[in-house]
Amino acid sequence: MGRKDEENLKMCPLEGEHILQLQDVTKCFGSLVAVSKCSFAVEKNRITGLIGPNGAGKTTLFNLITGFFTTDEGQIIFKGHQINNLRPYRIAERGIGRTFQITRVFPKMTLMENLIVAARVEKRDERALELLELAGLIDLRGEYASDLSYGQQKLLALIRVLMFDPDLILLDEPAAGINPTMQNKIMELIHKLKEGGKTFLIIEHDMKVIMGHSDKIVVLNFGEKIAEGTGEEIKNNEDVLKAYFGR
Amino acid sequence: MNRLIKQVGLILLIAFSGMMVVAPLVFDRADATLAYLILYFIALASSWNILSGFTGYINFGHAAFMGVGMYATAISIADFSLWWPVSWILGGVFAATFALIVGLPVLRTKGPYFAITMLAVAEGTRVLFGTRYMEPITRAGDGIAFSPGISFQTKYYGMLVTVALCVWVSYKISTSQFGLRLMAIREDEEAAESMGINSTRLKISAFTISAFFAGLAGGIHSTFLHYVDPFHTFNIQFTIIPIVMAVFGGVGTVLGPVIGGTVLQVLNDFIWAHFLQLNMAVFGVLLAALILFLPQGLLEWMKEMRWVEKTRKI
Repeated sequence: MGRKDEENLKMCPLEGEHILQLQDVTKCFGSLVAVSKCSFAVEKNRITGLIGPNGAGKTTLFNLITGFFTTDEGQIIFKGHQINNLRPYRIAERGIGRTFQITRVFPKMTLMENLIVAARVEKRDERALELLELAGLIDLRGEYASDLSYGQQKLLALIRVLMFDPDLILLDEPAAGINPTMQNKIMELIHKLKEGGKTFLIIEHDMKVIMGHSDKIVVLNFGEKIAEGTGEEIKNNEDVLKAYFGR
Repeated sequence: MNRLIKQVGLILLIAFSGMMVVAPLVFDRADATLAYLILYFIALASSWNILSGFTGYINFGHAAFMGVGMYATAISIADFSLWWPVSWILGGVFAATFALIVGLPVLRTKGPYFAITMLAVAEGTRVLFGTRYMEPITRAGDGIAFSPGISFQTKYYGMLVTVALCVWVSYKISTSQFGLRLMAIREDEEAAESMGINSTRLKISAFTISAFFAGLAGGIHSTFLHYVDPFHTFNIQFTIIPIVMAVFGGVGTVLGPVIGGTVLQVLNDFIWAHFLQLNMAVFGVLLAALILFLPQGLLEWMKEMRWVEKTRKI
């Protein structure tokens, strides 16, 4: 990291235990407003759920936080530094990891290689084996990732993020399209990591999946935040019910 | 059975290396020249592979780096009377510098756009070297004829060392974190960036290394030809043939370009000798057949058959 880049980053006051703050974040594609004046905070060492109907702007928001899109307006602050419009690898270096909605492992690389390539930690081989053990993929470590099942690829993508030890992990539908046993396994792993000090922001399409696992839920609709609160509060929120069920 | 095949492979590799070392001492001039050309094309294919094989950025302008190296060596000998080893290395240095300058803008393009842009870079370089404006330096279309005054054996071993270095660097890349990261760019560049991999820096590094070896090989080859001109130096066949060789042997592997370069150059020589008119046609048919039947190349196929150990070291 160059010193110049360090100086260019504006210092912003850190609010309480918030690891990530979004302030009036806006993103337009042509005349379509994908995310509109969105503000919320992610608390450290918590699981925050991000829900909303199709096209609500959830994935766009992920792409803004991780630098794949540039913001049109507003600020994204991570650990006290403004990070919007930094290159994706710089944001990753600062400690934000992510997975993608459509799982993106490196197909023609072995499981071990998939993990080692991301390593920023000491003893990368040991760490990779440890994570493969944790995910139950240890016996497949020499196989190409393209030979894994969809659920196994999701697990691999999740443990791959851990190889560079980010503080905040963004998961885009970690439980979608896989069987309940694998879903439970993934959620179990997420809770275990939370106990180890990680913070999660999780996109989930299915309300039922996310309710029981999140400490806080943020609801988006048409690019705007329509509600924020605990699972109970969200369940009884009129606007949320309207957005989901058209009532 | 498979163990036996693996050992046969190792013995063949050792025998081949040994033969290439003694070739100019024991072969007649024609066969030694063939051996030299094999080395030359291995150097081009292997250096092409360092960028395109590992990162998946298919470079259709490799001849530009070879050509810049040829001119740098030719000019440094013809006009500045530099000692030949220095002028050879200057060939590599100029090509690498050229890649560094071109790479910054060009490596922002991806996939087919990168391929076409590099094609344009190579053609543009050819035109530039042939213009009247460059005449004081490049002699434009007349080309530069010069006599470096070194023996065939010196050039042969220069090329052999270049090949050895290039293959050794490929091995080092293939078995390192740097190489894994280049492969991650090939597999999914966005996902790679999302885990803190600075893809721009890595691509430019690989591009520069690739160009250095192409320029070095080109520089040595110019002292073999005693002549450079824009048409022959930047000819697209010096891009296409190494690509076919690398693809045939196995892209993104260490020894693939060596196997492809050797087999196809021997085949090429045979076709030249027996059916001259069919020369390029055979290459065309071969390329089509390859993409259909062996898209991953000979070496990857052998790895899948478990005839060769499945490792990045080979």
